[in-house]
Amino acid sequence: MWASGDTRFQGIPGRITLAAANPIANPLQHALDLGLDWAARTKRPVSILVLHLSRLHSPGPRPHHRRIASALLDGAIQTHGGQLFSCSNGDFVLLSDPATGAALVPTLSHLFRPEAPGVDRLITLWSLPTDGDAARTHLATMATTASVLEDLPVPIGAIAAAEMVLASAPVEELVRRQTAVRITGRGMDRIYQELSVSLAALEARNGAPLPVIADPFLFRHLAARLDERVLQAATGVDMPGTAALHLNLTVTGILSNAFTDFTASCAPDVTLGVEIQFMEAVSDLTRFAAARDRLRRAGCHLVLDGVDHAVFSLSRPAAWQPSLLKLDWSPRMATLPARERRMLDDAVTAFGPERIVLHRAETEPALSWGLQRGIRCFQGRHVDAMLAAERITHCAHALACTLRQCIDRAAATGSAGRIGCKNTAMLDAAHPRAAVALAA
Amino acid sequence: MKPSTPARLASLVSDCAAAGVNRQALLLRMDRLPPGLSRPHHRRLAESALAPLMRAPRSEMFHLPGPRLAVVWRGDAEAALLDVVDALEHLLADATVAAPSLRELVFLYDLPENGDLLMLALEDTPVHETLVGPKPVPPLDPASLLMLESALAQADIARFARREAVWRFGPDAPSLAWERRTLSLSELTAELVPDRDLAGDPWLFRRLTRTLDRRLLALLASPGELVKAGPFALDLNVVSVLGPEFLKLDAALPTLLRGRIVLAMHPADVVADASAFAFARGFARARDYRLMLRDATPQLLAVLSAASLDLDYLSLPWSPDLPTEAAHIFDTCPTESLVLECGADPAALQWGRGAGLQLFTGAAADRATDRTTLGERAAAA
Repeated sequence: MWASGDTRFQGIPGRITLAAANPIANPLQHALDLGLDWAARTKRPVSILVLHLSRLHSPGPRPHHRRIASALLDGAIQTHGGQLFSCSNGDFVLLSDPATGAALVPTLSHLFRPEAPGVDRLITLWSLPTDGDAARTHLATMATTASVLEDLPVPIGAIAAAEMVLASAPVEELVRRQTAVRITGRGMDRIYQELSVSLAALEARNGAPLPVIADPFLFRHLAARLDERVLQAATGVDMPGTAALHLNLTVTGILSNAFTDFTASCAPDVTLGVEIQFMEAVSDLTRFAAARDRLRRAGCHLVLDGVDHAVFSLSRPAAWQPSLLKLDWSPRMATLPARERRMLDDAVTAFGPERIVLHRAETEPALSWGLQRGIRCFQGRHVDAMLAAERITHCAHALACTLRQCIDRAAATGSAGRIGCKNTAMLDAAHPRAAVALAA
Repeated sequence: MKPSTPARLASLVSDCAAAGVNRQALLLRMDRLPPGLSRPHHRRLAESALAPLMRAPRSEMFHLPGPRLAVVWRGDAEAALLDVVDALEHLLADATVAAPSLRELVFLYDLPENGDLLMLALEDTPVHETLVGPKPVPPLDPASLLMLESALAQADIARFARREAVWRFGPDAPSLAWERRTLSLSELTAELVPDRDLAGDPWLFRRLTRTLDRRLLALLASPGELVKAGPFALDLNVVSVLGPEFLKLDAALPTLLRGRIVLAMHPADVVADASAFAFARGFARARDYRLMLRDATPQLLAVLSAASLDLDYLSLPWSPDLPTEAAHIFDTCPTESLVLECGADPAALQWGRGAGLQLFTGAAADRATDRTTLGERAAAA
């Protein structure tokens, strides 16, 4: 057994970070040489385990992935000896006796499996000297310059910066609209249009990223301020003909007088849906029940928003009887391990695919994934592009328009955002002409 | 049965005066509780705190506007009154906000002598109450949170450290299962931000809990802190389980405690980042920790699948409605995985034991054990 700090590894510190200046020109190469030398002298095999955290699905590797991996690997060398190398791209290399390396594989596989493209892509285990050439070839490619950010708490002062932007920006600059569609055998039916504060617009107005967006709790605090702007925009928005309008509101916003005033001022032929974040509902079930009751009395549809695949697999949102549930698309959903995939498919079936809107549908694979599971309703940039392409195809004034311009103009809530469009009537055709009956 | 309405109470007071019949009355002014303590579940808990008086002769409870509660009974009920005071004090001590004292909330009347005073108190108009009642405490805001976090960085956090016993009631005498290690929010508030209601903004409060997690973990990982420690539970955010302070605690954890530490998580935190939660769960399991979901009400478990959460324990807050609402919990969760937060209501303990539960916490469970002092608990551990 190797002891930590064993003289056999003199010259290499216990932990080497490639991102930092290092006296050893190529530490991984050096470690490999050391391992080969040790294996040759002792006539016993040595293992090299590479944990490829850089291959985790986006947004991985997150800082906590690295931190926990480091703790587990460090723990192993504290007990059994060995050397750990930390690479700037997030990967780890562990040089140890074969038993230690092999014993770590099940734990690491189990822990990272849901985030990894596959166990074989996550962990590579070589035995020296047998696999020396393969290891040498791979390790030579590992000195990358990518860096991983630390997850320091977002400063509370970040709220003030965001609130200042919210208060100063014109509402039409911040609030955007987006249309959701139901795909049928005949094409696309527009099912509703959502008004929401664009975080990208907020950051653009600020001229820099707003860190508060990264903190789920501070952002929920800010969301109460967003309500005011959304209701302000919704009151002023021109909705020709019968329409289905969705607003993203907090529970506090729904229980406010401003919401009462808004619903009272709504045209009777507007079907109103209110989207509540799942996390917000769970955080205070009593107030959520009051908000749900208020929506029911106001004749509004309840829509559950902010449901990602991991939350959906844990939950049974049908108990709240929402009209719709917006499931956030992530490319990871197409590559989940068998168990997680089965849990997600079961959740889709249990809730009913006909009442699910696949949200943030940015790409063709998102639509394919949903359609394969019976989901017909979609919202996201890919849908925006499909609708814009449809408009450009049929518009007599679109010769000089790009797809991007048509998408942006349709998303605008004020006339300034539509400048350049000579056929605003067609832009408004993005409004649902008839309130498509939401699933019961 | 006669309806226990305000009119019925007025009639009872009047009858006592007319017939010269002696009665005792207690008035609980829940309308004087700050917003963070006057949610429906707080009111249910307050109502259950009055339960001991309902065993007094000819007792009757009145639900009055405000909201206020009154109980009228006959004869001496000193022991029951002490239980009620004890229960209400416990309820307020558990609070995450600065609460008024019992002197401002609870009033006793001898009938018929003080009948007019009771009726005067009932006629108290809401406008008048606003004038004479405690000043409403504004909710936590970013500026006060910033100030509080700065103060926490300097404060001697050990002063606020508290322990609450979780008891295992088996076939033999009750035994200590573990202690919940926590920081007293009511004392922290009283000392550091007395003019703010911590629960007034639930999201800033959740953010604050992350800071408190880090301080508590650092305190526990300090030298000597764990040497004599018995099994304990920590309320932690997911991000805290994956943070450097927890890793330091993990490194400092004596071998004897490995497998005997419970990490409890809040539902909103679990769903805020379910991927991180799943990862934290896997890591905690790999390091042999037990996991628990806090605030696991029947309403919550109707929408969050206990089976999919795959945790070791669920912590159920007691409410008088629990016995009628808990059936679906028993369908999916083994009773040995349920921890009943009894509060001060002995009915909770009685129901829980009858339902086959084994783990209990709160004043009612403390009272039902032989060992109630902190020192004895430490010795037991």
